[in-house]
Amino acid sequence: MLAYIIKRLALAVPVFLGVSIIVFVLMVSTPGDPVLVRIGLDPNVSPEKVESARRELGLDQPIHIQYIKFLEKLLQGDLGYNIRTGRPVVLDIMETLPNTMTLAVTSLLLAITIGIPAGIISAKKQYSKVDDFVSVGSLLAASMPNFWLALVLILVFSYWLKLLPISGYGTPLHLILPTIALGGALAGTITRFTRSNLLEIIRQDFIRTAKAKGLKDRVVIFKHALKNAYIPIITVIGLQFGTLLAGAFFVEVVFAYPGIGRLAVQAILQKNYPVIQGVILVVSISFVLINLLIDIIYAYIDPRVRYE
Amino acid sequence: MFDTSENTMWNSKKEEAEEISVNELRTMLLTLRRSRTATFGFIYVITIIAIAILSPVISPFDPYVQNLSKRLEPPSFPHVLGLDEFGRDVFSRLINGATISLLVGLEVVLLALLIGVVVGTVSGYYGGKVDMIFMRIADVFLAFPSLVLAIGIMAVVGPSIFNVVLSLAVVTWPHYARVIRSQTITLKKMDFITAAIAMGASKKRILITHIIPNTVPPVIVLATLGMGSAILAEAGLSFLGLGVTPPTPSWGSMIASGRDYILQAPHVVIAPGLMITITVLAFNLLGDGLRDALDPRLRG
Repeated sequence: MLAYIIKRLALAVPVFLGVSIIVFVLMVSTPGDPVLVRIGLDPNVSPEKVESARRELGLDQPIHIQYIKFLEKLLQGDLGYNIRTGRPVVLDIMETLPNTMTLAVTSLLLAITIGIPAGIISAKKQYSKVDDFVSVGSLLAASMPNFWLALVLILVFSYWLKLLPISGYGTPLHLILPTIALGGALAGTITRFTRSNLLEIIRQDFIRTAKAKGLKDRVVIFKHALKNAYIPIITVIGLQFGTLLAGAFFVEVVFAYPGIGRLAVQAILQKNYPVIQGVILVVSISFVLINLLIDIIYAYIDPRVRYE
Repeated sequence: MFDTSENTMWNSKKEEAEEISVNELRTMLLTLRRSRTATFGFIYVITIIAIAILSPVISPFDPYVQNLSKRLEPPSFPHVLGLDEFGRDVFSRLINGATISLLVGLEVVLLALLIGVVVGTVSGYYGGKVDMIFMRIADVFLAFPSLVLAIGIMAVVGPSIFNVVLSLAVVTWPHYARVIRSQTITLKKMDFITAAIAMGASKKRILITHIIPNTVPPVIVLATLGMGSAILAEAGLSFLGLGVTPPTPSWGSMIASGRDYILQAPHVVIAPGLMITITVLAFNLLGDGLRDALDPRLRG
């Protein structure tokens, strides 16, 4: 098990490096001269001053040295400074990331509690009316833009029914609508995946054996079929976590929810590039880490993975 | 003499290969008809393509003409879906928005496919170091939540239709490359490829005349589902102001600009959202149907 974890971690290193290279390339190709951003747009500034600012920012170095410096800073947790406030970007992210993670976790829980049972019912009653309803409903949920669902939810539950707050955060009530908007599509995806996976497993020999020896339907589904469906379902949830993080960018904007997505979108409107890059880096690294964690979890659940 | 005989042999081989994939496509369409949902998807997709192409002719009003005295007017005749915050006809803007959405979707899918086919077949067929390098690059792109990377690229390059296509293709090609690579590896081991090698066909020839045509059916499924996600992604980028910019009608930017008027005039937001949802749904239903049609186990 330990050997597997070490191997898996080693494999993640080149991916991390690759991610840092792409973010670095995005950073050096941002429009506008970073020197002018630093010293301001003063036309009377002396060439010496421009030169010294350039040196200060490390821009006189060749590009690969700049990258190594960037990586060194990154490993020390230095993501640069917010152009507007002068605060370290890391602080901005540390303030907003927990809010986004809270929203992501509640959405994930909602999606799982709806998706897995709906998928099981749909698979058990394949080709029935219930199956049709669940199939179309889940695909509809997955086809809907989350920012639009968010707006419709606000219209209905906040403006018309006046049941829930329009925006903001702080109480559990504030989380309900954003959770539905963000988790809805994922619930659809998990339903569809659970259904198709179970249908495949149900056709296998060991299920027929279980049925033939007289086990009840419920035992066959929960003890035999579902146990085998968990691993692919967990994998999909891991991959979908990226969609969830991306979705947070939209849902947080609509609900004015103070998460990392709204931070990034505001930074884009202000052309606050260090913040944008910091957020992209942190979001991608969290995504890689979550999938790493899932790989390790299912090596723990399924011994076959370890021996591969 | 020898040359010509070999040529005819090649030609007949080629025709045979083409026939196989044409037959495969025909079976796919026939099987598709059996599913009600896939048929709905197919009919809707054909209709919306026709609407997008004919939009300049069938659009009842000019999507750009403003009538500020009638702004946010609710649906009524002749403005069946009402007017937006500038007094423009929502229905006409939806129809013209279809052109933008479908065109962006199509261009994204084609560009991503082009990269995916080249990388996937070369990687799968040659294997070794080339494969290793290509797949590690693909891994890095897949390490980003794709829409987040697209947002990052758009923030740097600035909003425009061309940039939307470019950024979405950049973040989606690895998905195509992966599938085409594994398809290529499966094909590579099949007898007709061994036969082609035995007959002295060059690697390039085998790739172009034998491998690539045989990846077409699964690629059609991917491309159909890809259209749905590309349309959804374009709407998202435009909603954030990073995609298609006003006054060009785009479903995503219509929702963004109508957002502030949702209470007074819900139709301004609801109509384009429904349009996105139904269009994406139709592409997904069609894609699912095509996938089932391709799976011989499900043909029955």
